[in-house]
Amino acid sequence: MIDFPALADALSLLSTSWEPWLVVIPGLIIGLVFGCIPGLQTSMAMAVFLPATLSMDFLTAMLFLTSIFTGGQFGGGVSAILMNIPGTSSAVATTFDGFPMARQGRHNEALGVALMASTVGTVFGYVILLILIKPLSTAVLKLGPTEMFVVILWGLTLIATLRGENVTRGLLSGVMGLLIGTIGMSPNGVLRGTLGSPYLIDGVPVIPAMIGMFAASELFALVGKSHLVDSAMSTRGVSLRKILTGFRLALDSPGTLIRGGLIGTLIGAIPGVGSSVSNLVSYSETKRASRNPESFGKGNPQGVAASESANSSSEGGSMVSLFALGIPGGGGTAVLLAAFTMHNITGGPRFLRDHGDVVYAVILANFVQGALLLLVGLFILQLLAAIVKVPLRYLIPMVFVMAAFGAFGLTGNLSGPATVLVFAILGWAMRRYDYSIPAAVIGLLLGSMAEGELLRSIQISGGRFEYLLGRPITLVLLVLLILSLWLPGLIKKFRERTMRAVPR
Amino acid sequence: MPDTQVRSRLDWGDLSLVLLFAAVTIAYLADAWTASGSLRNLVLLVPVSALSLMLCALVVVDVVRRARAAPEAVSQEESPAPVGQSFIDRYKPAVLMALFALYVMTLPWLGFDVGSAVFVAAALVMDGERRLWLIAPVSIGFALGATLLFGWLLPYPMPTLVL
Repeated sequence: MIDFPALADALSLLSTSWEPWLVVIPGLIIGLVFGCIPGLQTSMAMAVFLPATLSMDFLTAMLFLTSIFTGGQFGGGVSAILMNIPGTSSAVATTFDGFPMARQGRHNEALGVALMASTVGTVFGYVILLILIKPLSTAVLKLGPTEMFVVILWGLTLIATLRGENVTRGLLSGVMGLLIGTIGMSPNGVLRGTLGSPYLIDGVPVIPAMIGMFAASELFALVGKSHLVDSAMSTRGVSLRKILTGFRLALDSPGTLIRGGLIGTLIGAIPGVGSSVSNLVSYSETKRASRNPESFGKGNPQGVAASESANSSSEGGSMVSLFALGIPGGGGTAVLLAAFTMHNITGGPRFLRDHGDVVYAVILANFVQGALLLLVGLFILQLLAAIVKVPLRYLIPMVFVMAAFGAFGLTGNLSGPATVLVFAILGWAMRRYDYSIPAAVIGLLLGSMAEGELLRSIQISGGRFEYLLGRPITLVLLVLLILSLWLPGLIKKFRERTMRAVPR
Repeated sequence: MPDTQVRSRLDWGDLSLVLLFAAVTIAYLADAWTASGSLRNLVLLVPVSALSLMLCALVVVDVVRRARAAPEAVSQEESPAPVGQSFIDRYKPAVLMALFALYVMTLPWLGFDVGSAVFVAAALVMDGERRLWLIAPVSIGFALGATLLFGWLLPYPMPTLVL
């Protein structure tokens, strides 16, 4: 199951130098801060800080970005508990019992439960990834270009249709992303869609475009908005002793943590679904399995543990498709794939075969990150409780400036900030009219890969359509792709049922 | 419902965006076709463009359907803009976009140091902050810190005016 020689190499890779570890704590803090501020997303933090990894080696860059990812998953729970506003979409179910606990004066215990559940969830997700990555990649290596092309389309369809209310607009976002992703020099050497600009010969600068769409466009939508903070809540202090009591409360219900971990990892592995759905599924399952279901929604710590363990373990789950297929399942993993590109690394099963030690090193480092999250989270909770009250008006222009600096750093000229500007405005308009931003970004990232796989399929098949009939996996994937168009309706029904079941 | 009423309830922004997508698709396909009409060049672009145009058509139908289904109560005449709001308050996202565009376009002259400080200060003022003793240190301090940090991180020089 596990490639032990690669695992041993990974251990030596992590223990020979302390340099990669230097970025973990700053990464966790960045993730915690961005996660806890309502409106700022974890993927936004990862996108804005991606250029900072230019001077890092690949392993250090991955450690830095996954630390932000890990911190952000817990950060979202802080404002969910203290303000009844989920800092990220993955902390919606945390508000159900976290805020009632805070209203009862048990906000410290709720924060403790959330922190411990997040730590356990993160580690759980990566343990499953550690066990599954090798067999999965061995299986994936058997897939040819035809299957990979359909997998890309399927993944994109899932992301496009499951992230929003409107399937047509979601699909159009993905398709537009795919088209824009093919601008520039084609795999067979034809220059297309560059409008005569030398800056577009290598295609649209993907990472500045991603920063514009993920980070800057969201900020336009946030300007002028303020969150209603419960004044009594905002003045309450943070008690270390009571947070430790929360740790114990979380550990008292291991079944909830394991259930949440399993649900989070499984759902996190499905492109487009991830932590925003897993926290709700885990909450609903924990409530259903409880002997005292009527206590949920009134301040039951198990509700907080269920939500937080699921959203944190989704991170490990989402890495499955990234490492095994080289296809991101959502915003966070899209940024990680961009980091692969930035360091001239092609993701997917061949990467695992050739650089298994690096993949295992990332997984092992995340165990340590999980433990560090517990410590860092514990000591900066007081700061986070203060940060959630900082008016957004101060943070918005600062994130814009960071985006401009970062984009300049990536391109080395002002085409980077200009790309951020164009895609920020486009992203803002797309958000406003219910288009899917993750689908557009992932389409942009995968456009040239999809074209390459399709061209290889045509070369191998000689352009004969009958070739497909001899590829059963391709056919199964095509059927799954078509079936997945019905999934949004099912998820919507489930969401509505869960929200209705919670007494507000 | 008469056509004039449907027209007045159409979300023109929504419609413009989808028409922009359709126009970009057609322009890109035409450019790619002109560059090379070979199967290898167009094998992905033709089906994806066709799908894009089909989805654009569906969105246009959706926009029109929404305009037809819009209740009387939400017509523009019956939902006037809130009284007492200034132009800036009503169009904050657009004003911020304009500020960010100005910031990016003036970077070659103002540099990252001065440009960033001016942009942060202007954005704060636009969003209602009036305390100069806060605006000045926040904007200058942040621009200074970010310029020094990125100047140290990046392997090539950044345009700056003072630093």
